[in-house]
Amino acid sequence: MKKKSMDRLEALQLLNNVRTDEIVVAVYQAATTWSNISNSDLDYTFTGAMGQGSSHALGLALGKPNKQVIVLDGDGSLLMNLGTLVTIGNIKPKNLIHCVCINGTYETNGSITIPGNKTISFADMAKAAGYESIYTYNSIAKWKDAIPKILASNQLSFVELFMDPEENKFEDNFKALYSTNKRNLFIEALKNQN
Amino acid sequence: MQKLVGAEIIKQLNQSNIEYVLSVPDITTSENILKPLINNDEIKVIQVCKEDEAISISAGLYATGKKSVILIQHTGLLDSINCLRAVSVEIGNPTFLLVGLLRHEPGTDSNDSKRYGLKIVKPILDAMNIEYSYIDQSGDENNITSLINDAFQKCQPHVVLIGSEPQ
Repeated sequence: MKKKSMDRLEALQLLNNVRTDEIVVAVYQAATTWSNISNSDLDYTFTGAMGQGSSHALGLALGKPNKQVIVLDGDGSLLMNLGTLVTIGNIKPKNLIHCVCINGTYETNGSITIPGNKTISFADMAKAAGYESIYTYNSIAKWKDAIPKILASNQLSFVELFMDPEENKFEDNFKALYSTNKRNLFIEALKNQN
Repeated sequence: MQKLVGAEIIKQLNQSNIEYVLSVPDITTSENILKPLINNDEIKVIQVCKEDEAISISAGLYATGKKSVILIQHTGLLDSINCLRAVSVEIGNPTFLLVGLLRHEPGTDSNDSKRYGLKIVKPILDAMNIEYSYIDQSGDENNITSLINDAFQKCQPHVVLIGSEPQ
């Protein structure tokens, strides 16, 4: 039986509807989708190398302990930097929410299936690494209900979001996502939050 | 030739208002830089599992106005080239790395090393247009503060290659 999953655009739109002044770090296809529904200068998409989103987010969470940081990671990306779970779980920043969009494929690289797609559990790995709250969603209705609670949790959180493998709804524009100018706008926007 | 002094390197970090050291242990610097840093609350030490994490954490900290340096060995630098390329060079982040040269012979040029891993370090940094310095004796530490300030002012990476174990 096919595992239930969510439409990425719909799931991220729900998050964007509730988001206020949180920093959002988004990678690859999540970043492409997110940049088409959010135009906040507190969006941090300039992560550069694959797998690094949560590490950038850790730096942001440490540097701004009173500001919530949400990561929109990918399953292929997280596999490329699994040690990040241990690094983050060891520090336990309470203002970090690590969401992983799981669609079982390297979507940007030709939709090839990720290794371990049918066997690995990111939730179990995050729990073993020391994340304090673990959530799993594959239904839009339950995800919608849970978002406010997760944002208010004040605990290092890990959120599995099972997404449909899909054709890109939006054109990739990594040049724009990774631009230094965008990074500089982010820094200014963050300063103005103080 | 008098040895590098770990306490002097730490002093330089303090003078540069470094708040975080991000590290994977390096045999050249563990005893007299990393251990004293871990045992002193003045600078926070974040131990990472793999060196490229440190480059990205440093970029995140920089975006919040915090200064950090990365303390690793050259094998970790080699493992982090893609992240250094993207995060430090292309996006433009002040990634400051203190890199121990594992099994380097002090007083010699790493380009002439018989060890392949050491021999390729400087040529790779040259190819990437990344600025670097080499320190291996007492007094060499004195430039670290100005190198850190310069990297942060220019928003670009700098690598300090440490050629001998500090005392």
